[in-house]
Amino acid sequence: MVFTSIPFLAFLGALALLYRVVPRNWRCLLLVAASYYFYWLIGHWFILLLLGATLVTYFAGKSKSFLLVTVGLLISMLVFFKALPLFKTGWLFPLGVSYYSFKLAGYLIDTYWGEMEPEKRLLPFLAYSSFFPQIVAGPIQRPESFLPQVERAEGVSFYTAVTGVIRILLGFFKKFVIADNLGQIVSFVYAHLSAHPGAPLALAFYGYPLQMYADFSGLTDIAIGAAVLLGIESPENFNAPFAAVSIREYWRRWHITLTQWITDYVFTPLRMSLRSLGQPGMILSLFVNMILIGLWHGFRLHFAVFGAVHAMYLTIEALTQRSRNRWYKRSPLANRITDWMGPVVTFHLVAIGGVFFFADRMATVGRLFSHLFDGWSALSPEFHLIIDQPGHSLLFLAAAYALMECLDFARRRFWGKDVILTMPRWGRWSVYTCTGLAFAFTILLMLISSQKSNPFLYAIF
Amino acid sequence: MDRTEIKSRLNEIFQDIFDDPSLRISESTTASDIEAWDSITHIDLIVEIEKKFKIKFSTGEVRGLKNVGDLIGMIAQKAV
Repeated sequence: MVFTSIPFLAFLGALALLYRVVPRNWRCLLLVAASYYFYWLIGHWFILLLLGATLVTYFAGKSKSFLLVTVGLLISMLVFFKALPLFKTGWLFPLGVSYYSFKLAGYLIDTYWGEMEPEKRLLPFLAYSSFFPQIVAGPIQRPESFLPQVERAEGVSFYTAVTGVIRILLGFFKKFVIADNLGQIVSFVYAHLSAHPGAPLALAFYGYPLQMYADFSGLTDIAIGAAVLLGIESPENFNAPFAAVSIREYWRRWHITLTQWITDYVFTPLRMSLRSLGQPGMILSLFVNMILIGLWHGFRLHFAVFGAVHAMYLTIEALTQRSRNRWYKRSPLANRITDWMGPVVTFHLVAIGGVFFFADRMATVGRLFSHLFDGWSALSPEFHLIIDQPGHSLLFLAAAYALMECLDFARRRFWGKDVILTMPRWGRWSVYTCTGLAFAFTILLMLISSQKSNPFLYAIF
Repeated sequence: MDRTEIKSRLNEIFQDIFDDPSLRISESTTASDIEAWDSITHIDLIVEIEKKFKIKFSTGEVRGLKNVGDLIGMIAQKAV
């Protein structure tokens, strides 16, 4: 049951209604039952792994001597399933294990460091690791933020539910209109790389980061919106990543909950223990940290290279920071130009990293970079077939992408601020009506569209 | 060493690490108030404080800091 399907919407709608009408002390049980039902549908017998890992973590959290052993077990479990495809093909991957094992390991480390009390009740803890909106692709919510909410189990007002639906619709727009269309072009170009001149390669080069952002942030929007309908406020995972003026800032704006997790539990402890080494210690910590972020996506060489490329960017930024600052102070013009060029340069660096992320063979990377500037000569008829489809026109995609950025801007500005409630009655009801119409329109499109949406990129990690 | 003295010495360290002579910290300053204060510069800051005050922090202590006030409190405990 994928998030962008009518059965999922029906399941979510029925559950949200039920959540609203049952007594408060039943709500947590309802969330656990629904989450395990959902996991059974997508993960089948791996449900036992989820349950087992959760129970072991819950009981280990109560006794200090088992805490670190259990963290080791959870990480070994994750490494085992990530490494399995290297040795044996055809094995199924337990969906969500990358996300829930990090949630559980983070809980144990926080308990070990004395930053949180062990959870007393089992039921909220079962809800924490299995919470179905977050199990496919995060966000990786921290226990201190999730557990009190699920224990309070507050009802969801009509207004809050509408904001949840709006957020889900935003995710559908990003996925159906931008990610799926852009994705078809990018995949086509990468699949027949040697058949294309420079322009299609450039299109894939620039298109992939945009597709990835629309896809992953769309999936996150649906997850956050679905959680809102069930009384849970989730952390944000994206904050205008392509507005970042440096790679350092980019990682504070992209897949925020993963970056924060790895920073807290890997980078900071490692950097602290290597601090006597000075700058080499910092560089080593950055490389370990970024390569781990790469490998978290899968144990493949190209993911490790992707991490190393980003570690190299971060190292260069850190080592040149002071001399750059001095230069900016001497030359205000340089400072202004850098301010303006920062996001453009950062986007290009991210796109270069994206090639390593997408292409699983170094030959592909070489081919793309060596022919990137070949120009428009002789576009193949097959490429014309792809690009001439209505949803693939560059003008349409550019307009849709611009609209998405505007919607996201509005989302960042107004999310959680109850602006609709402060509107006059006619304004409020206009919003409700438009949301209803947009929702009905989306369902209608899903019903009449024979073409299935592509799987979410981040749902496989 | 009293808190005011620690704060003024800390202010110099902050100015040096964040390369900004006009920077003024207060007890309530947090990482979100200083743009360049991220996980990388945070440890640079800690290393410099350890050097200047001749003290040592543990990873847990470094993670638990919420604002400059916490940092001053921690230094006051450790520095003689």
